[in-house]
Amino acid sequence: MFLVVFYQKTVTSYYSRISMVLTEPEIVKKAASGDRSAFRLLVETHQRFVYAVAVRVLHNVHDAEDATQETFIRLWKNLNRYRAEIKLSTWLYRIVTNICLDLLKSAHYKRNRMTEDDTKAANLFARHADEAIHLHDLTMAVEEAAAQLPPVQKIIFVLRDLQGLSPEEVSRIMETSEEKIKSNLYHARVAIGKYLKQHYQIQNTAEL
Amino acid sequence: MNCEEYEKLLMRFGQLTNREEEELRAHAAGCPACAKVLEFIELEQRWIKKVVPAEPLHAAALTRKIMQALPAQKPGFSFRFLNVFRVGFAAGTLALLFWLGSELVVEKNFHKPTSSRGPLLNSAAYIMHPLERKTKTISLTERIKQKGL
Repeated sequence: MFLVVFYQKTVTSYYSRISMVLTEPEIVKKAASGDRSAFRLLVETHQRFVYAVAVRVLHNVHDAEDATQETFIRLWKNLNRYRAEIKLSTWLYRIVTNICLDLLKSAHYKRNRMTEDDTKAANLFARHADEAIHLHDLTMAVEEAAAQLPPVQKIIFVLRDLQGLSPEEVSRIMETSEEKIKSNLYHARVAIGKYLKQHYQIQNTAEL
Repeated sequence: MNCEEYEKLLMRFGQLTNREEEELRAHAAGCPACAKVLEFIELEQRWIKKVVPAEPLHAAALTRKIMQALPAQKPGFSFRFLNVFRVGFAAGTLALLFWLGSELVVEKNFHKPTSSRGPLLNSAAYIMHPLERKTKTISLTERIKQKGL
């Protein structure tokens, strides 16, 4: 017991020490040399947005967790190729979007994706049970509308409108021109607006 | 400006200057098609502001899961160089087996009676006494010597 507490204290102090002293590129460098504690710090820092993108795109908690795990495994394997001029978050966004795109395009996923909607709904918003119910409903409605989009449009919509990234950043992540990003986003926004208008009898949109 | 040009403004909706937005709204007031698109985009923009952020239910558990799934090797480690050895080893083994197999076939045929070697060798000159035939075996090493290998 004493040893466990001692280990935990040592590890915690090590994390806090390296996170306070070192910059992100330095932590990455440390992780690239095989330091798992440094890598753990990167996982803890970035896993939230990686998971957020995955769950918004895949609409499934388990698939999102798997995609997050796969993203960090790929990061670990390729850390030695990391260049400081690219932000680590951009790199992670690129990895997770590629994983999600591959998954969305796979025939198996297309066949089975609509089977776990109930668990998704229960888990995704469990943390926010104290919030007003209409927020939950609004989120679910947007999720439902986004689920109708083609894969690329869906990813661009998630990155730009839900994650709040700039068009330049999205174009860097998707490795395509800003014009294409704007065009895809435009079609996604119109489709979502249309879906919301058709499926939800919106009376007082100004109040939203 | 025509509708196509206003569409470019609609694509940048949310990043327009006040003047551009005023222009767009003025055009939409007289153009039902653009007004419809503007309505959809505005509706989407209002709804997404209220979307609850998605977060992992158990962040610590997810971190643990990721760390446990990491490969044992350091970043950048690859088994590619081992593949070269593996292919070489497999090719060598196959070649050795082939050579041994072919030698065994030759050796087996050498001990067979002359009649089984084929019609050409089945002449009277090649037919020996059975006892003599039994002793008439040449070992592999002798054959190699004969060939001068």
